[in-house]
Amino acid sequence: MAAGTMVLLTPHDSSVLTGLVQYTRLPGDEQRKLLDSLEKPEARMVAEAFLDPQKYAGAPEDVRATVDRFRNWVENNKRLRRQRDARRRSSRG
Amino acid sequence: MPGETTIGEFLFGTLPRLRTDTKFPWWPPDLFALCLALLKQTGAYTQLLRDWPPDQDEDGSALQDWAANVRKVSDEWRTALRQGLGPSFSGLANEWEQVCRSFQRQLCTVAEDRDLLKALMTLIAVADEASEGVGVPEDAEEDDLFLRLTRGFLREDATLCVEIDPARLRVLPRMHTPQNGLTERSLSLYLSMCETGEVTPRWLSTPFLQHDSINLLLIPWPHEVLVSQFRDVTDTATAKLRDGFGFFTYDSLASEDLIGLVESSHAEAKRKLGRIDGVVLPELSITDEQFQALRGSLPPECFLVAGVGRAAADGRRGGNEVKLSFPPLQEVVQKKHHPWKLNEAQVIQYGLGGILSPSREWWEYADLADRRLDFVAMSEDLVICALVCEDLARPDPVANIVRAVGPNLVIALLMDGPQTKERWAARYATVLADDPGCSVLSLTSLGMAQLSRPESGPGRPRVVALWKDVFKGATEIELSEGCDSVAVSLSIRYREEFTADGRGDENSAAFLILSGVHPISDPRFFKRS
Repeated sequence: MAAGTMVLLTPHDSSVLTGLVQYTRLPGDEQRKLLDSLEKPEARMVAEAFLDPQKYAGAPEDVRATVDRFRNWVENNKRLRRQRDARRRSSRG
Repeated sequence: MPGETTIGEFLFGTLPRLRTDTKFPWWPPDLFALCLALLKQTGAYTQLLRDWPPDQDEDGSALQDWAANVRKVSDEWRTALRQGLGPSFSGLANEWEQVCRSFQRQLCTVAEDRDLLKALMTLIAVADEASEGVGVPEDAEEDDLFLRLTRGFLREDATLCVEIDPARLRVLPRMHTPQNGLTERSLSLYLSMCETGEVTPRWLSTPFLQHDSINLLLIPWPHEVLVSQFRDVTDTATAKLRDGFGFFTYDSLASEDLIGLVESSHAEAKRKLGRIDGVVLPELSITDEQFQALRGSLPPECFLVAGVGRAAADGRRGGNEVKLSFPPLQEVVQKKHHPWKLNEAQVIQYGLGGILSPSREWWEYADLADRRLDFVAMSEDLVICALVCEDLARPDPVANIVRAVGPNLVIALLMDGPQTKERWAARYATVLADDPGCSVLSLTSLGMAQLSRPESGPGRPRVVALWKDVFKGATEIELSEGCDSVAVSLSIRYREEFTADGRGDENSAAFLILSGVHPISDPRFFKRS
């Protein structure tokens, strides 16, 4: 089931994926554990497409749209982090 | 005899293993909860803070030294946690030993022992600082084992604790620290202690793209509420009431106009503002089928928060809940926690006397079991939650969790009269803005606001929403004549928050402020006319 063109994720899977996409340098076994904990096959497809460009290329449109959202979100978080660091520097004087 | 409970006995109640195993609780949220519960139970933090900081000196740098030392120890702890070496961290051994030595003493003596109080405050402050960043997404170039584990604990058990059973205490992330008054909530920046087990919180994560502002489309639907939508269901209810009381239910009307209205209003609002991030509808405004249709009609980048109702039927209780949809997170449902009770004044205010006798008091016949509270972590700066009507006004059981966590935005969905400054919603919104510092948006339907008649003076039925934040007084949001909805812009402002012991968050606390109000009319209407 999709909202617009995105895969819909359970609260568990959404939480796992938001963690997974943030920690791209996760040790392999930890990454596998997270992948194995996903409840729905669609969520696993999103995770695999995020991690593997080849799988992304062959993924359905809703999966790719969800991956794109996560990628944009990671970039968005980087921007927010930079802003936060700048605020902290100015706070310290 | 009263007064003989020992410090140890109190702490064993929170963490039973301490009876036989007094090793240092090396997981920061556990230590935080344990020590803060003791300070809260005894109220001893007020004693400690009478003469603070602990090591005062003539040049007045003691407060900075305190904060710097807390930061230094917490950095060491966090580094150990990040590397998976938490159990070997020994930077707080002396303070913990001080606590353990007090186990045999009576609980009521805590406030008299300044060394113990100082040790407890140090443990709380360091545990708090070591937990910075929990609960919210962040840009993590390197693997932070601590944050990764906290994410899992929040997901599975809705607590950050490892050793402390959530049935005893929960620790959740915190977005705001109260800057007024003095309670145990004044002692932390990043962690909050929640004592209630009656409401199950849920911490949800979704990849929301945060811009410098958020644009919301408020749809005060339905635009008309009929007295005949209220029904007396006392005789068919399975629960019985004493004389003088009755049960009522409310029939939401299916309307083909709604989806078209929302679609065209969304398009018009987007044309005006460039982007709409979320759509909000009031309490009991739509049916579940309408919610699904609306979700399908809105773009996935736009979240939807709506009050969904189901009338009581055949003795079965009705439903009154908020549905939150933040794609790609599937929709989640949070039931209302308290039933509405219509008394004589309200029956007359809404003109319901032809259906519901003013000589009785009328309880909403709705299923209120399974109390939950959902927090949606949208970005590093934004956590929101939604409340339904009475839940904003009743301090128990949900308000304590809201105050503990301090979400950046509280959306209150109401079925209420006009949202004018002098009415109840503004009062309770002000309380949450004051402590802990939430921004609050309340929204009612135009239909209900029009049904409401003030006891005296002219009514103001087009005031359908109200905004309150920490910086300004309450702002009424009025639906302009000829308009169907209102788009509001919320900008993010950062300000430094401080704990009562003098630690600051270096301008990290995010506040939403109202930065634009735009009337939206259905463009189809103008095309027709």
